[in-house]
Amino acid sequence: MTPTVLAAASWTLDLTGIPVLDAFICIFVVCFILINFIAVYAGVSTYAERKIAGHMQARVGPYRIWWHGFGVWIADALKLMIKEDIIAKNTDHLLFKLSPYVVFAGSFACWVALPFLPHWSPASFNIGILYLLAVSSAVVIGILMAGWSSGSKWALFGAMRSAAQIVSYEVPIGITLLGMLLIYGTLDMHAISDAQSKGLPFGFMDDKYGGLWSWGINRYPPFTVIAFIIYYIGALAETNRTPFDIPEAESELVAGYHTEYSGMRFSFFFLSEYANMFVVSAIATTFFLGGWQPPVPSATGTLYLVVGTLVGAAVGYGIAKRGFDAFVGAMLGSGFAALVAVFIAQPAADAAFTGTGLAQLVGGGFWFFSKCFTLIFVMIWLRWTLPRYRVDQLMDLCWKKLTPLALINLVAIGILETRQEWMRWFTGGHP
Amino acid sequence: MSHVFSRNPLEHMLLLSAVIFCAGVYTILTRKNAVSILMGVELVLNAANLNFVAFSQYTRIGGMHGNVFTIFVILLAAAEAAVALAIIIGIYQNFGGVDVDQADNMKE
Amino acid sequence: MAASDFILNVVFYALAAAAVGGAVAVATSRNIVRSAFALLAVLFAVAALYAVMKADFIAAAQVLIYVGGILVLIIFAVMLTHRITDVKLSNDSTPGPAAFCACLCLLFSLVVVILFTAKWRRDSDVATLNNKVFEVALRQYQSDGSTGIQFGGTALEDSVVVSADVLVVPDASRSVDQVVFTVSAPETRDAGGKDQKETPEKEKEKEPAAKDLDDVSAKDVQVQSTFLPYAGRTQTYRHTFEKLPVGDYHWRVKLVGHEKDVKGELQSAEWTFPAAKTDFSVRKGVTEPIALALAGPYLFAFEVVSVLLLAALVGAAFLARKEVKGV
Repeated sequence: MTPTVLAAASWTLDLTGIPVLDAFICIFVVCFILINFIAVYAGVSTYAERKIAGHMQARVGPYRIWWHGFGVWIADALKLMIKEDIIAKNTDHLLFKLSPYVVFAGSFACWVALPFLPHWSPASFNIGILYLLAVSSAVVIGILMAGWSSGSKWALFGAMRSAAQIVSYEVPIGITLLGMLLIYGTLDMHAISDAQSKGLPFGFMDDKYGGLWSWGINRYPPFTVIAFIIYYIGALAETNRTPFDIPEAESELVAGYHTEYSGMRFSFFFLSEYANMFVVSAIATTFFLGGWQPPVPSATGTLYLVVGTLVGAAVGYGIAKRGFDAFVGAMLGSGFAALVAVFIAQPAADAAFTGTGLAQLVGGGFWFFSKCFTLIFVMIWLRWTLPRYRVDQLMDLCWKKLTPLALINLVAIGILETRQEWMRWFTGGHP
Repeated sequence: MSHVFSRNPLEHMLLLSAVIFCAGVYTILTRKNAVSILMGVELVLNAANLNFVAFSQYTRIGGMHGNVFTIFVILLAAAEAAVALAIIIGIYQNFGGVDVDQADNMKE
Repeated sequence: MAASDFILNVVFYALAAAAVGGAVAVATSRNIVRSAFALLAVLFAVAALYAVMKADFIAAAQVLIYVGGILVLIIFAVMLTHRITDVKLSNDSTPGPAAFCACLCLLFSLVVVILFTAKWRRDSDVATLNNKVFEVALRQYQSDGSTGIQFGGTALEDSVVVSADVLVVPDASRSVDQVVFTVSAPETRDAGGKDQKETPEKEKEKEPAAKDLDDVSAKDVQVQSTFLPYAGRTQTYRHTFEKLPVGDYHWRVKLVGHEKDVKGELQSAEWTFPAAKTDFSVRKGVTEPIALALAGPYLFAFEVVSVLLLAALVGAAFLARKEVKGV
């Protein structure tokens, strides 16, 4: 199902006469674009983090280089590239040099399977999510390799703690994703995003485009929302973000498994942490927030959404004159408006939202990246808000609280799905 | 020209799995560290899995049985590795080392 | 060779080299941590080989469980059972000649069985067709369609190869010039209609023989494959069908050639084969068949393995607990 616009991009296939060479050129070009995007995204993300941190702490953050400090990340990247490459004597040289690449390879291999544009990803798999979970294991091995080959106790402890944390939190993540897979019935990321275009909560009215009410998080409201929260907490732990950044905590372990790394080698770890953040946000977006689907199913629906949000915000503010109430009002107003839009402003023709032209591609890409960057913003926000968990509290949270909750959630979603089947049977096979 | 992989995929996979199998057996026979012996066992299991999947995918004998058996072998290898490593850690705590030549308390 | 064949061969030999190199490093490295990371290379290479064989679910399960679980456990065990201050952990081995010779003998016997035993090979042919004159062993490679991997719009491997090994009954009066492969239309699950079976049949008829023969005409054929030294002269004809959609197919083969009649003149002749069970299916990946098998004939085994995993979990947690030393 290649979009017709991108089919025009298959000119690269006829570049040389040799299909082998064409395939390799295609792969090379796609990976080149992706790696550059990751590098720029990671750099700008560091700038964004420092700015957001600053503003949340009532200061301005970086300010002096270019406009409002925007050149800081370029200066940082240059600095890291020209630093002296120091390798301690007591290290295992081969593994020391290899481990940043193993960690980055684990993150980058996840990027090629993300559904960036409608029905297009750099490499589309029909086992999409399983591939993503599998290849993230390379990151754990790379961390252990890095910690071991650094030849220092602190690096080793940091690596073992980090590996234990990542491997532990893969359990609740896997269980929540399993619950969502019960709903979607397929492992393919594009099919999962497609399945979130129609239907209302609890599976009513499967033939209507529901906009944001048909996203995964709204499918069986209490349970899928809990699933999203558990997934998000697990994702924070997977990427070693606060409140789970014990492996990188300066007051505890200097810098954990990447203590002995400097310059360009350190920047690989840095890059892969931000790349990992994007990957887990992208998986959350695909499973819970509809992937590339727009929040309202039509253009007039967007008007309803905007009006509803503004009216809700005004009403909320008017009640108590606080920003928080305005925010709650905006949320309620937009949800109500989206619901109204479902019934009144269905797409005029299917082609507007299921077509394969350039407008749909750009729009879908815009929504996908907006949702991912929103989730990344929340990650950054949490980092500068919450204190750090101790290692035993972290493990306790995972095994004693999140995993049982995720299992109960899975059973509940399973029961609701079978109820879906019964309802279909009663209503005479309505799909 | 049947020496090329694409002409005889099944034979090539079986030869590869035989080589990995023998490397695994050599590891089990010669190593003194218990964890190394476990790594040899994993090599043997992987070679056998490769064999199963090759037969299942390149021939029509038995349908999906080879693939399903491979899934079961992977699961059981995980369980076995967990228990074996727990025992090895117990041995380390009791004997101070994991050299299998020195774990001979139950001899004669 | 077709382009996709070339890529496939290069990929296979690279992965095989990685797997063998990693296995040798596990067996002979003097540093146990290095042999653990060589095991990582072997596990990834084996997973990639599963993907080459189009068992995509098994490849992902292999990486997820073996690399993400077992290898992490092994590395933890290595680090917990040594004094952790040295980086170069020794891993002694006793590499006597006895073990090496035993392994060589084992390898030799396995190789002999694989290469020179014909019985399983004959049983493993996908279909054997017989008429009075010829015997054709029909094989299908890459038969499960693509693994569904596409890079930016190109599909690297989306073809189905059918090969027919034609066994000529020793008789110099016949020669085969062409092999005609006919594949019937797929019975896809959502497509329907018997009329579909008629028209695509003619579209998909291919006559590949002359192009696939490596410039050897049918009359000059000797034993084609040195891996198959059993009696009779065989000639392998292959054809690649590109981009077959998912579905169930039925293959038929027809041989076209020349025959000497009673007067000794060459007459053109055609040989067809009686109907046989030559049904193959093209599926996208192996996930759905495994799921159907696990929920079907293997349900009991699945449940038993889950109980066994629970027992292993509890057992390992118990065995690895810290002993509270007595007074």
